[in-house]
Amino acid sequence: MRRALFALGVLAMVGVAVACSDGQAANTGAGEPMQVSGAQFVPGELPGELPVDGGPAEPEGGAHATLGPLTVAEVDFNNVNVIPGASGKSFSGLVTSDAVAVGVRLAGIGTGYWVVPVGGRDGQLPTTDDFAFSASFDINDPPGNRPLRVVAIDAHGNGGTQLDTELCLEWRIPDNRHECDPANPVPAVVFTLQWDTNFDVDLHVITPDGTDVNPKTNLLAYPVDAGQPPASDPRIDRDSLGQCVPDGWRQEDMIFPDYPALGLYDIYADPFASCGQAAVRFVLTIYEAGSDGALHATFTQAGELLGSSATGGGSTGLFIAEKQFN
Amino acid sequence: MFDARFRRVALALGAALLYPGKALAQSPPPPPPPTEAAPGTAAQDVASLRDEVKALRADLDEVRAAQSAGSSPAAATPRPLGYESFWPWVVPPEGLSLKGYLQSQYETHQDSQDQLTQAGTTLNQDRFSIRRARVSLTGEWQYAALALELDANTTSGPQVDLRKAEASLQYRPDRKRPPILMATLGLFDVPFGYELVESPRTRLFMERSVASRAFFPAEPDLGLRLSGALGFFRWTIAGQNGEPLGESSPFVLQDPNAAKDVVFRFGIDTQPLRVLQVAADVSSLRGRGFHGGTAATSATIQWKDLNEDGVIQPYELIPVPGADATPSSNFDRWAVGGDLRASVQSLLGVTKVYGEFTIAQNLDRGLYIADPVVTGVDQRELGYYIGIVQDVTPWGVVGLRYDHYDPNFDAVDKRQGKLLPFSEGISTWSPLAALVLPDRARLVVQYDVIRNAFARTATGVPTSLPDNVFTVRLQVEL
Repeated sequence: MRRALFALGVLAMVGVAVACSDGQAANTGAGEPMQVSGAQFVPGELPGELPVDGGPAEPEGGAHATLGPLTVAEVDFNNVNVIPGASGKSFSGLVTSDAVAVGVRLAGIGTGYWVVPVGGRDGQLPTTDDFAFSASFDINDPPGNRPLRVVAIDAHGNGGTQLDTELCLEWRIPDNRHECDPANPVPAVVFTLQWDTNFDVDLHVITPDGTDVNPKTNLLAYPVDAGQPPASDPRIDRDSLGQCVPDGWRQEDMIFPDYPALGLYDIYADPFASCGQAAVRFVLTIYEAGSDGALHATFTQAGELLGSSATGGGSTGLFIAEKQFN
Repeated sequence: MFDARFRRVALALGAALLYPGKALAQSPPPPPPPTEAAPGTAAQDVASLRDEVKALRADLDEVRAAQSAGSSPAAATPRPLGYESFWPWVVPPEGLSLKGYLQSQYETHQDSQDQLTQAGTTLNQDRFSIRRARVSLTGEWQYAALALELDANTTSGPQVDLRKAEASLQYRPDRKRPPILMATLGLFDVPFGYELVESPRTRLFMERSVASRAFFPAEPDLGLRLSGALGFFRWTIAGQNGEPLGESSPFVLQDPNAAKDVVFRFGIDTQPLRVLQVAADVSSLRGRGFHGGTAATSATIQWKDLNEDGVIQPYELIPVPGADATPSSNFDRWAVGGDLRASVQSLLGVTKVYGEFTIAQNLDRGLYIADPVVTGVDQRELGYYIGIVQDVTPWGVVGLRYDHYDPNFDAVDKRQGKLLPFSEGISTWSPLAALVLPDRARLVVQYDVIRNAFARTATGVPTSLPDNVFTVRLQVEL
């Protein structure tokens, strides 16, 4: 009995020690600002040397004529702009053939990097190998210009010189990419309704003339003769969770590109369909353009709707706030 | 348990009947001095007393017979060196009996994360849970037998499952031994190898080996089983649907194809020495897996954001024509295996050494699910384990098991444009220690050291993802 107790005690202590220690916990990178499909997440800094300011000097005789060891020759993608929560954005590139893998991360944010094994020899540049990966971005990534940092890694884990390629991470609040290019003017006012579960909530805004703008009739002024509505017209940008189809946003925005018509605006949250949820917590935020040319939150109101109060569009729902424009 | 309780009740009843009998014989006051009575009256009294004694003797014989009937099967139930028999070799008490046990546990996994999967299930595995709460009812009669078992657990949220529903006809002339011939129709454990038929109540290790769980996500399946025990020889032949409980398919405990999985298991179970028990079996399985076809679809339009600007351009709209339904098809699968176990009684207690191996093709239904219709290549699999369990006095047990599962002999990894062979094998070392209250409760602590190929090194080479598991389990039996 004594020996059994001793053995049990030893095993329990080992188990508790392992369970409680930090150890090398498995981390699949699920909480990272960028996730790369099929790649391995490695906590820590990228190996290799920090990027050269202004990018690597182009060698004589063309871009890829005489590449140094462990060099990322190029990184290609379709669009420099990354829409919030973008999924499956494609990247590809070339790396010198002494590399077995490339490491990838967003510079300055996140806790580690992703390792992507290189592919086969490039058909046109025999001293380089191809690599390709598909990346997804967290919808709450800090907006603004952010370098995608890539480094070539050899079989011993050594890295070459890192290469930065600028991306524009767009803000989930529609600001006309002002965060990336301050020359872009922000909308004058944005009403943003966000919520926490897959519940079809609709933002309703009753304008001073009594018009109900909502995701189902999302324009304040409709175009004539099937033309395009002017970009300056106020509108609601999307019907999030429409038909209860999850879209990852759980957000609707009423955008006023120009200063709204004067008067009192009533704002409602309509529990259109519960989508099987018992309740939903929401928050309304009003953003207004500041003197610095950026959007700033000027009003916030939170609340809760119950699944049993779903309207199916029969009413404007719960009154949240009113906003007076003078 | 039921049997022991019945025995105690019967003994108490017998004692109660006997005790008043003696008391009555002793407690009455001494009879009054005999008076002059007619000789005819005295003879009547003697006759009456004789009748009364005869009736009491008959009652006593009846009680003794009842006691004897109630106790003999239990006394005869073989318990090979401390480890219980498994189905269909269990010799249950005559009549109906009820059993049950509860396994509640805490576990912590190294790869646990406070996140959800794409399907919305939790990645956190550090938790308390009810692993098994089982109640079983067995019925044992001369030519018929019945076994029912219900399981409730919280492994994937609260759920209740039917684990056994066996209706059997049997020929069992020696009531102390398993049946010479038994035919069972219903829901029973797939009789392949030892791990599947060993009850989780008696198995000390937390779960079956990885290979066994990949091939058979849960033990029971529906079908017909013929089995028998003649001396040391054991045989089982079964035909089953081939869609066992726990399978990752919409056809669990149903059958999408007419072909049945046929399982053979032949072996020995013998005790050549008083202190040594040896058992060995070979098993084989042959069946047909099912690849589901697709339903007809309507024409649709897809949007692919080619320039990744979040705005629909005409060239980004892709027409997807309606597609005709595709037919379902079957594929062959098979497995062969062998298992060996030996138990030795010593002063310390029982030492049990056992092992098992399985070679299979297209049988994985739980982990790397095989479907050669899709891949065009048969998936060849290998699994084995070896374990030792040592009693340390009647109140303690220690054990160690090593198991390995290679889900695909032909796995390759692509690096630098080359296809390189690599092993997807998963190996687990599982040391354990347990405190035991014999026949009532046990507290088991187990630590699984797992090596796999789920991750990559910083140079892109496949390596192990840390996912060791620590489990504490308390089991209490009815």
